[in-house]
Amino acid sequence: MKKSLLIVVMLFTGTMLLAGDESLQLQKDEIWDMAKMYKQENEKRAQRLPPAAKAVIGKILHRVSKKAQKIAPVQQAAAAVNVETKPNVYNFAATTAWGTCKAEVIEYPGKPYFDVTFDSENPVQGLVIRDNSRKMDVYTGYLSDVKAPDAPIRINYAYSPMYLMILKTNVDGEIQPQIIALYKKDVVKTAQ
Amino acid sequence: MKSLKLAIVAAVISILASVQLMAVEAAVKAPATVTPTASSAAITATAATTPTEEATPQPKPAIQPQQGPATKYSIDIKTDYQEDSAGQVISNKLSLKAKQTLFDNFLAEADIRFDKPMSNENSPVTTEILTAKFQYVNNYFNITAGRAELTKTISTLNFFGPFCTAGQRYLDLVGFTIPFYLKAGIPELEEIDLPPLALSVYYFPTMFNYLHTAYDGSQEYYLFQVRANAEIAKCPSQVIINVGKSTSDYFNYSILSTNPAIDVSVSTDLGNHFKINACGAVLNTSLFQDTSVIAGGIELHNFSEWIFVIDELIFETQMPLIQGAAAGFDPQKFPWFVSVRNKIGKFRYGLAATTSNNDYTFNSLVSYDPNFAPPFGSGNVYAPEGIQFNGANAGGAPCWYGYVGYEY
Repeated sequence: MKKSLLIVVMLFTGTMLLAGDESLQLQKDEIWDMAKMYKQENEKRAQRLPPAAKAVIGKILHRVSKKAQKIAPVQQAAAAVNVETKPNVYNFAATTAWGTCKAEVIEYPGKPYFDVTFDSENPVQGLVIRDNSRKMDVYTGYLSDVKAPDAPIRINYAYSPMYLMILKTNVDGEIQPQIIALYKKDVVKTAQ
Repeated sequence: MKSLKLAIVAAVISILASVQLMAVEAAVKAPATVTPTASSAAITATAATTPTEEATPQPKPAIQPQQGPATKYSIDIKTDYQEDSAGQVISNKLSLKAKQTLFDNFLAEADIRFDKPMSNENSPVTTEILTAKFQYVNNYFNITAGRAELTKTISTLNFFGPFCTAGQRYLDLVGFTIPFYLKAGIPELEEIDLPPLALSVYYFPTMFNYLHTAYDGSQEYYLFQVRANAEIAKCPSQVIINVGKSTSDYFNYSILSTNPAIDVSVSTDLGNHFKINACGAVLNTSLFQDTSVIAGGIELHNFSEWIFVIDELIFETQMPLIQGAAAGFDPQKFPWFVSVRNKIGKFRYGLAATTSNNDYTFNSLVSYDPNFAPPFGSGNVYAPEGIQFNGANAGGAPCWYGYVGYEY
């Protein structure tokens, strides 16, 4: 009995401290008043609004694919940005009087560089990337009789469709230039 | 008891009311409304971008090739045995090779060989300069000057020929090569791309050996070459057409006759292992029937993947198209040449044999002028080792050559 009395006293003290000067009855009345007011307003709104017309389902002209539905608008924007920065890979091949050679260009859209790699029938001693529209060599590199480089070679210019790749190949002791046009109009896209 | 219950209810209601007040205060203090929906969408977008980027195939890190020249030196030591009509010889050969890789469009290369027959002496030593040349290589053409090895440059055969240089494979020259492309059909409507071509022009100040050389312009020789390359039925194929012309009339049955000499050689590689080579030539177009010859053979290469001890096997034969034995020129019918070779690490070894009498080369030429004594140059050359034979053994027995070499 003493314990329960003590708990009640503590609760009451706490309540009084939290509630401030407002009396319990006043709070109770306010709560009831608010509840009544909400109820009345809801009833009035229901009387004021007419009944909703039955929806007519028309013919579906265009159905959004499930794949597109899955992507929220924000995600679509993010994906669009991502497509632009995704590297494009282009393959080229050329047959010259001394053999066949292949080239691969990895383009990074919006970036001021691109990567090239090659696969030559004859060992290569020199690589030149030439901007044919400006008649200017944008890259000159020296290699040591390799038929294909270990990794792509970075060219610090934005990829343009008017580049030439000139491989200076070692054909039985004589160095012969072999040209591959890196023109975009002739490319075959292998990956996007 | 009633008062107790009332007290408890009052306490609970007061606690709820205070919590509600605190929530309202917190809502007033908040700077902007951030709905849980918007927040989760932003997080989703960020999360959706990352896996897409990861899924993109990332290329290997780009490399920057070496800038500047690289000079390579190598030493080749070889012990070989040769047996032909001149006898037997066992010798040690030392070759010093130096090569500067392409730099600023220039290239230089030299190959010097010292040959000492086996004996208890340190001499005699024969010195040979096999190659000593430089090249200028533009984006569209190249210029070569110096002493060069022309084996694969002017013929597809490995031993017989090249007929347009009378068997000479190491020559002093100046020349250039330029690739070009032709189209057939109707311009801009139905154009057909012809196989890629390359035109080469070589000038040789003299074609004779040093004993007979005169630098007066009478021994000059010009060689014009057109080379075509195409892939026929997925087999790389090559055609080389050479036309040579000398400035003086030295011989009737050889290339130095002031009349054009023509040499056409073809090659096709089946499955990148079986190469078929053939060649046809006329050394003097004014004596077409007497100086026409054909040669051909097979070349099995890149066999070390399957047969550990042999990488390359070559067989060639030659057939003169002469109708009858002309005065002073009776070429040998169907001489043959066979060679095998292999390379294991830095070691290499090989064996070659032939019954050739060096017909259609400067080695077998004779002159009506007794003061103009042969030989005038080398015979057929086994190019990979720079070896020439002095003719078959007595009775037509084949001559032999075997070697073991180490290059480092």
